[in-house]
Amino acid sequence: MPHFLDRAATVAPPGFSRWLVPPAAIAVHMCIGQVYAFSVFKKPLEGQGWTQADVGVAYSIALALLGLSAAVFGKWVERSGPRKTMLASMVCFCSGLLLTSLAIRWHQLWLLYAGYGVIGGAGLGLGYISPVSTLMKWFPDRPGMATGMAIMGFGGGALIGGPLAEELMAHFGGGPGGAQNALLVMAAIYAVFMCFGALLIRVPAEGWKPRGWEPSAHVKPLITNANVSVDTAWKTPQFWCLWVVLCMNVSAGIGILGQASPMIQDMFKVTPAAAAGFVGLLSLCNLGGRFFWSSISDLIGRKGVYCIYFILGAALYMSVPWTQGRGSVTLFVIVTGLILTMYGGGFATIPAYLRDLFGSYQVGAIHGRLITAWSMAAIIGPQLVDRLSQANKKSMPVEQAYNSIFYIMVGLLALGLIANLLVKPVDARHHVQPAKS
Amino acid sequence: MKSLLTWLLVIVPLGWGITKSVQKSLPLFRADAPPPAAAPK
Repeated sequence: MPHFLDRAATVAPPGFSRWLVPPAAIAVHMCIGQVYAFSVFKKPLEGQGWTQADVGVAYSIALALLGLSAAVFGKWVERSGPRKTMLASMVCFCSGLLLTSLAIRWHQLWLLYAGYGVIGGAGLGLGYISPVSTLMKWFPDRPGMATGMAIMGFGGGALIGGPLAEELMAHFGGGPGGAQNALLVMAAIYAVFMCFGALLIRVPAEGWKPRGWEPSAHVKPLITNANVSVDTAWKTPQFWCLWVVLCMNVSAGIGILGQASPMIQDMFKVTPAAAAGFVGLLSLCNLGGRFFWSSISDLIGRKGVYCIYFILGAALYMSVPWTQGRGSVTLFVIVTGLILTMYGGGFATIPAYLRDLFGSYQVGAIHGRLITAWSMAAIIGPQLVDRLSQANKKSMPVEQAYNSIFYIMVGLLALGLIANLLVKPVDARHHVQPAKS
Repeated sequence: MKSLLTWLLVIVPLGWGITKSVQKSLPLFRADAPPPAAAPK
């Protein structure tokens, strides 16, 4: 008899509704998406004698560990099944929050890095890939929409994690003490939600398919019915093309997202409160784009939708200096909001693109290795915007300091477009034999 | 019914987060930006 954590114990009985699975996946993503809102702790922790930059390092470590753990543990995730993985993710992520609380109590910066950055970051990687690959197995007819739902939950995690932390910190009196207690409560709340996801999750039985759905007899060139193992997939040119596609798409978006508040204040002289509103609006666009664009990709194909991201994205970036020249905040907000929908869409569409090319056999593990592109982009994008804007501010009016950055973003998107156009079907010699898959 | 309840468990917190975010973004729409001093002619 299988242990209730094993994959075999999570196989759905006949008649199980697949619509019970997305809430389980979203619950886990919604919790680990808290990482996007980590910056709310920067200001209160200044009372510890730590600078905002010191605290920000924990966020960077967590994102780097997200990519690394997803890449390293991807095969284990596929073998162990979603329930064990989600619980492992819960243990790591919530321990990270608890250790962060202890780091504040004991004034130990290294513990913040080890707790939130390393242990919590490992939880992010485990929790990110497992629900996505499970949902794709339940929705072979609409894989883009399925991954969009889960990854939308990750974007939603920031919208919940930020205000939740702020309200809890205010309740506990603010400052480092408030943050310390808020983190304890958050660890408890997130543990409950992640356990809910882990207990609810199910995998489809072998050979299951949605009622009335048959795999297309006319196989589309970029959608395979065969499977490629993770050890082979990452050696193919297709994997590295998609790596560049994701890295460029994320670098272009994350640069704006990370600098949104100072950018709009410098370019349009708006108040800090309005700038905070702009950041909130971008987060909403990021969230909506995850579901919208990945669902569109089911209709027009993954390659087509990435061509839209890159071509439309480049055109929009080129128009940003024009909106600044007109002094139109409204146009600026519309343009950057649209760019951010495609940033979110890029995250949400990539798992379905991988499934199209490599099949569903080890797609979670392949996705895990591809996520290293995100870790790389998390370094490239903000650094590029930060350093260039600082340098430009010394030599030109502050409101024009960002213009050259937008043109560099166009260049990044052009590189992504080339990589996307180079994506071809995977050679049949890489397919695993049916018995293996 | 079970499906509805499980969906509610994620929709309620998501809805709360979205409402908070919309509230936060309201000052942006009240912003009245002056024309930039050094706009290109």
